Amino acid sequence: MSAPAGQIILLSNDGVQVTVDRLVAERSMLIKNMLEDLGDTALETPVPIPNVNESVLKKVIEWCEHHKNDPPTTVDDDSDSRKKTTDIEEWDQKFMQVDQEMLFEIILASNYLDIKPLLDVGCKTVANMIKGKSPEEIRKTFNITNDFTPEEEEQIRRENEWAEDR
Amino acid sequence: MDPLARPHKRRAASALTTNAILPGSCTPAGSPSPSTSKSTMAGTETRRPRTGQTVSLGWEENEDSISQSTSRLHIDLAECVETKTVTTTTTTKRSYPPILLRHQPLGSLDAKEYPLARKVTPPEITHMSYEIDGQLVNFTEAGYPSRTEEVRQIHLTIPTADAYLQFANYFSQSLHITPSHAALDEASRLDQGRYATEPLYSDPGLEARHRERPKLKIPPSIRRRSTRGQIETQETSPTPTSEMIIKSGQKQDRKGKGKVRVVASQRNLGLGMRFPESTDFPVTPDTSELEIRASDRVGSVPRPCTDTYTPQSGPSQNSSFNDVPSPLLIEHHEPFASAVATPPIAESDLEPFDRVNEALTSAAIQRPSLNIVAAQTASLPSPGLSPTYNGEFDDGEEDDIGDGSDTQSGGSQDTVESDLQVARYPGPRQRRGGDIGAFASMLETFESMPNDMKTFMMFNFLKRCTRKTLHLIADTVNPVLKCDFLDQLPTELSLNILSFLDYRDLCRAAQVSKQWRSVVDSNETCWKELLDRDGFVLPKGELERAINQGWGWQDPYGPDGFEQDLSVQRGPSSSDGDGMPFATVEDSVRRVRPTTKRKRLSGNAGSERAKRRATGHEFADKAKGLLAKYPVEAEFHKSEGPLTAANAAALAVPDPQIGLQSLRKLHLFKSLYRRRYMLRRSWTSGKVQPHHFAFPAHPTHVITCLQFDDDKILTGSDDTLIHVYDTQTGMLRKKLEGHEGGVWALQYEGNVLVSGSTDRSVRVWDIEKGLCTQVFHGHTSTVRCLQILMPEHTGEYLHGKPVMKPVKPLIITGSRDSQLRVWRLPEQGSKRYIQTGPPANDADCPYFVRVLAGHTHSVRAIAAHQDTLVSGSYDNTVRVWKISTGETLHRLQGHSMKVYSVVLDHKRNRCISGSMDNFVKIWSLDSGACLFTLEGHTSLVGLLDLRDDRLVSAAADSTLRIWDPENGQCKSTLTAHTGAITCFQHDGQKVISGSDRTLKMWNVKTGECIKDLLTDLSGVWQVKFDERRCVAAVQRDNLTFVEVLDFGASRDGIPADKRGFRTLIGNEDENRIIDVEEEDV
Repeated sequence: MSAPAGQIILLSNDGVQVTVDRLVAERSMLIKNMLEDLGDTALETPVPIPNVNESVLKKVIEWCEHHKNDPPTTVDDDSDSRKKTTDIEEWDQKFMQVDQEMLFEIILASNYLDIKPLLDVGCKTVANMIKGKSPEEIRKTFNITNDFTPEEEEQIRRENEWAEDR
Repeated sequence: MDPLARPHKRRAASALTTNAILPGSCTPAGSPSPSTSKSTMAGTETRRPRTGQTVSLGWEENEDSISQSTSRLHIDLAECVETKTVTTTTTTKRSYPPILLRHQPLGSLDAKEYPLARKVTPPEITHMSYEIDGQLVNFTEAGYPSRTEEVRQIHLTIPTADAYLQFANYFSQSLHITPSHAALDEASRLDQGRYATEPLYSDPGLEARHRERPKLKIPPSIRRRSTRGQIETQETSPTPTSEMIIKSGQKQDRKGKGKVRVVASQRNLGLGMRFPESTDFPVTPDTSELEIRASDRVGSVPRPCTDTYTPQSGPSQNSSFNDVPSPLLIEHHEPFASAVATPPIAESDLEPFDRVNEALTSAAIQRPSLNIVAAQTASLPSPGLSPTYNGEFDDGEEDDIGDGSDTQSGGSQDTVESDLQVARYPGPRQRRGGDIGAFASMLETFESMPNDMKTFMMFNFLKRCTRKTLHLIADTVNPVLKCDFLDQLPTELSLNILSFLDYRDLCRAAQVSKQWRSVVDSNETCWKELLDRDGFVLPKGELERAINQGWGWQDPYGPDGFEQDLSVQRGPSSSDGDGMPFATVEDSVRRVRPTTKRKRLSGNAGSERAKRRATGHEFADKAKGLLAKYPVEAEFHKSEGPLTAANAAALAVPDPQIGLQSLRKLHLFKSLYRRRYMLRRSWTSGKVQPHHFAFPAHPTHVITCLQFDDDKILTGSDDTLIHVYDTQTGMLRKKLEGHEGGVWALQYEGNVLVSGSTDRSVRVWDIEKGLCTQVFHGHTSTVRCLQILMPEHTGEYLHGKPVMKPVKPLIITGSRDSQLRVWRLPEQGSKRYIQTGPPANDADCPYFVRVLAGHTHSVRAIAAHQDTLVSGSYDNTVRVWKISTGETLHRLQGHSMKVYSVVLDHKRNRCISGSMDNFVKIWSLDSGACLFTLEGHTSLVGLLDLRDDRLVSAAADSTLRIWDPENGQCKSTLTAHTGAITCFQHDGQKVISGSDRTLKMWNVKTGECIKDLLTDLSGVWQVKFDERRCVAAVQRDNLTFVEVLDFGASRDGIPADKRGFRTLIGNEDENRIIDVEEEDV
């Protein structure tokens, strides 16, 4: 089955077909490059996205939809300044208000699909979950077991104490 | 107990019955139960009646004004019975009267204690549909108006059941319903056939019934029992009720034969639990009604009550069982059969059972759950699921089983059963199986549910939980839904996340767990990027030092902690004199120490070195080899470096015995970051005293200009000399002699120094050799300012090569002759070119580039970047030049008096000027327009400095002001000096400024004076600082000194008792002694 003009069908790994505008789908460099390589023949059949399930795929597409008119990101060019801030625009913040598993999947999917801005938003979201928290709070946030012995913990506390001094 | 209850019930019951029978007029509440019927005539045999059965369930909750909450459960069942030879198929869609379920009085629950009690069920979980054994089950919850009074009364009489009970009921009911009477005959036939042919009937309850029922006697009065049950429940029952509306569409062999069967009691069965007798059973109005009917029939009809589980109850059940017999069931089939036993029942009629029960208590306990499982797995919701208890209770039903065909024929009878069951339902006091059994069976029931149903039920459970329980659940549930990103993501993505964190968050993250520590600390690239991003610059040689001395293994503690040289113990040591660049710094520091110490050290140095070589040479060789591959400059300083450097570090010092073995891990760039960070902190923390020494320099003259680095301090003086001092020791290394007038400007780049003088010449020097290599004449008056302009990448590429501006290093000089001159900077080692006087032709000088003429008065200040040059002049203007062509781009007019200072804001393509007219002006280089005039100073603004997005101005009014270069807003005013500001520098964190009596350090962000670095001065000529040192040229008692404050001394291991006080080391003898020592090393 081929997609309507200007659209492309993506096939999630759980077998669901999702039809999206080509413009939207091309936020994914992976898909964009594939379309460039294969030409319109790629539009004729659903494109399997083997690493992404339906719910995540739809979420990612939702993001792409909203950002379809963003200017294309320049390669690496602003990689430094990009990392300086964890500010996330409001829409993206709301978009990222999902459970951790979904966030995890979005990060993986955006990495796989090569959607750098989304990957960054995802990583920033996680970074923001870490920011300003004590180690114990971080553990709680991500349900991580403290596997240090008291002795080790003390050493580690000492070796990182310099950063606490204001 | 309430005599009034009965009549009510009856009335309701009869009404309901009517409704049930007459499709379309269903519930008292008016709940929708349209029934349509299609009929299919089965010519001969029904095949799998279940195929094509559709059940839709609707769950409705409603809270009315009196906080009665009601729920309705709609069940639509469409069953299609296929026949082998189909001639006609009749499908009857039945609308079942609403079933009122006892609802817990959620509304009356204390919202504080039950935070979720009034929470509306999220819509997404109230709709579900799934297919089981060909049955499509739709479940929907919707709000309904409150019931009529009658109904309410009924509700009142109905015992409250917990939510789960209701659901259980719903299940069992729906299940019961499904088997609709439609195909009763056939069903019965089938059942019979099955019974006959299939010894292993999947429903133990049924089996039990089959086997044992015959022994039992029919309870004397069903009705009585039922009433009793109701009454009991009534006492306890709260007002809220749930109503279940069941619709079923079935194919029947006979049109209109479908009957409504509501089996209230079966709920219990469905759960496989025993509920507290009176309280827990939601009795639906239907049931009560049914009861009545049933009771009537008991009298009139020989086979009045068919048990729900009986064959009639559902062809679907049977088939489902057959179709999908659960392994469990089969396994346990036998025991159950024997264990027919039901939960102990107080009723006398049940006595026979009790006996059985007692014998098989354990079996009894298990049974329910098994049944449930069977039912659920086999076919959800199917009527057959719940039956066990019913079976037990209903004596009569067993009979039915026996002659299933008979019973089925009378569909209406079915309804009775439920009542009976309800009535018989064992109360809590009666249980014998114990809570354990109930618990287990409930769990299993739950397990066997489809996920959607689990969700729905769980939500309703939660609504009935107290805060405490919810906390417990939240604490249990929330964590496991979380996700350890750093652990689970691919490494590169983890690193991406870390790249958004600052040092403090990274350090906290490193303490989370072993995995996190490993990811964070070993993330060399990340720490390197952070180092760059935070503006730290590794001094030349520091990386090599860190690698060779094993800093990456160390975690110095506290403000006075410092990185040790582990190579002393095992590595190739810098002190071996193998020419490692870092050696000089450390060694020279040691050299200043008392000679005795030094000698003592050198005494056994030989043997130590031998040892070191023996133990460490293997690694040393490797490390050296690695290091050798990369020329010091290119090697680690660029972005490719971090991992390579870490590898080199691991080889240089393979395994220092530091800290806990389990935690030993190399973290080179974290160590470097920490070191730089601690150095920066040491300025302002107040916890670290600087190593402070001073020496006299150009004692009776003014130091007009000063520049320094880790290695050397250069001072230019109006005594015509330039001195080169050792930064570590203050020792005078060289005196650069040659200028014939005072030196007023100097700058060096590498080993090349350029100076300008009142003698109108520009001189170029080789610093190390102390020789003047070039002299440029041309200016006709004092060279007042100069700048070395190094090529910089513009960001553009031409033919694949980066475009650099300027193409080659330049010297730009400004003079009192109103001109600027541009010269080519001689490379190190260029031929000497000494002009003795002004050349006849400028072009004769090979280094001359051009003259920039236009100013009409002295050029006082210049600033250049790439191809842009701005100059400020005493002619009150600022000019903007294009260096490569010499053309004037703008002549910026606006100041009313002499311009004393200019800076370039190339990021914004602006320039800023300070003037004697007290103003600072910000100009656009695009348009040449004055964008902002910064007012505030009340006297000459002699100095400007723009760094880290902060503009600082210093004026003769004894204040400094901090401005936002973006909009010209004054951020703070530094007011503590008492005289004109003579010099200052800032780095985005701190400002250090000199005035008449003191050298002060300020916090750029707050504008507060942090402390006085130097006091009791009679003047400050110059001040400069870098990451660790502040070097100031000051006047004390009319003598000029250079004062060095080394805030990084502690990081080099200089003990606290050697810091914090001024050491004067500046006499010639001292210098000579130091010279000698150096030589003998």
